[in-house]
Amino acid sequence: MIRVAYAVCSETRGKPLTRALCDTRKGAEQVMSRLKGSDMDAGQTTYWIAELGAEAAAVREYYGAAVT
Amino acid sequence: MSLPQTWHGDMSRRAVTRLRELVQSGGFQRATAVDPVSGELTNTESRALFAALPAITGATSPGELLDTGLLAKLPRGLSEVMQEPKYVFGRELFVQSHVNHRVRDPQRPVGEYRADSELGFTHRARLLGEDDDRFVLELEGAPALLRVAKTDIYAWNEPRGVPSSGGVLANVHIDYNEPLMKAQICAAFVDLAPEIETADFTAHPDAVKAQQERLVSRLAARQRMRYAGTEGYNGNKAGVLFTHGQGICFVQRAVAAGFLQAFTRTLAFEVMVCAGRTLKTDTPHGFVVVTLRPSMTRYVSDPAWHEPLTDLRVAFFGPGWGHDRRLVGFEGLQDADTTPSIRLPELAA
Repeated sequence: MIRVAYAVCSETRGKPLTRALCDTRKGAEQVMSRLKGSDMDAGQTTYWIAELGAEAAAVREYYGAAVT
Repeated sequence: MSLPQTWHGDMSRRAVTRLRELVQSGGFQRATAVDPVSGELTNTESRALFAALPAITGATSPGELLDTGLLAKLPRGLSEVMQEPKYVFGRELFVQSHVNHRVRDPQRPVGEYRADSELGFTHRARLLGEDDDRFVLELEGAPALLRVAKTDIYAWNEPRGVPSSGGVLANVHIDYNEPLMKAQICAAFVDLAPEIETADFTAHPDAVKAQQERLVSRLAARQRMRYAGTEGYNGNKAGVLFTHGQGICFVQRAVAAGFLQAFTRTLAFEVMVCAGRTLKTDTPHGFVVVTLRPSMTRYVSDPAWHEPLTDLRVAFFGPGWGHDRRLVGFEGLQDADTTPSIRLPELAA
């Protein structure tokens, strides 16, 4: 797989989401840290970073400009 | 030199018989083991067997299914149910209008009309009639009935997905000739055959809907993917991803759509590949909308959230109960050649 993006993922009560797409791992870690601080139910949420391939480019339009 | 058609038919019927033995002996899951990196089947015998199976697509007719040996009998009244009009009085439709997705009353669903809201999709428009080239709809909160071009209504409500020859959605390659895709579809037919063969579309509408709900839900529940960043194959073959893969919601719902499309003509339902957002955090989220015929009842099938089939009115009710989503748009190809059938009163302006 050719890495295209880093996805910041979260899962609350069994419902996983990709919260943001980032161009770098550092950017993804910053976004994850911000979400941990701002999510209302952060206490019941698991966060992680996933490496995505070409599917990231296919859904990029939904996420707006990538965080670098 | 090409081989005669009957030779291929005999080969695939023999493969279906062998697959049935495999499914009934409980060995199917083991036979689908793949290399997690390449997605290649690890068992050479499985590879040969699955490659010999018939390719079932959204274009495969119920009659052709009988020829393959996957079904011995079709549901009673199936051909009649597919002739029933789809645009009928009282049907709930997706419509783009000024709609509110904020919770104003936790006991009431979101998605009502509000003049000061942004343009968006709601699931709550109800079809009342037709007026020339427009449909007439009612939407809670709207000061008057809505008159919307039929072409728009079709664009927002007719099936969306991959062509029956296959295609790509969210970089997922849906290839109905891929051995594992063939195996997953054929195994589902084998498993569900007793219930499909005894399904009765001439029964009471509530009973018809209940049997379809049960069957489509069982089909959707066969998909067992993990979310991205965990374990499993992360390539792009739909058949491999189906039970061995990982992916974000947009990938998982592309796999679901490709799989479910193969059953639409046998169980009388439609599939729409949808993009949405959550209500709480406005995060993009992908899912599939399933419409049963002839009731035109809608459901959300959301593999990433482990919801095989949730009634649309619950799935879009509001951010409570964990059903936190709204519709934003559609993806995939739509067959523009067919004009859906209508049975409605004329409601001139």
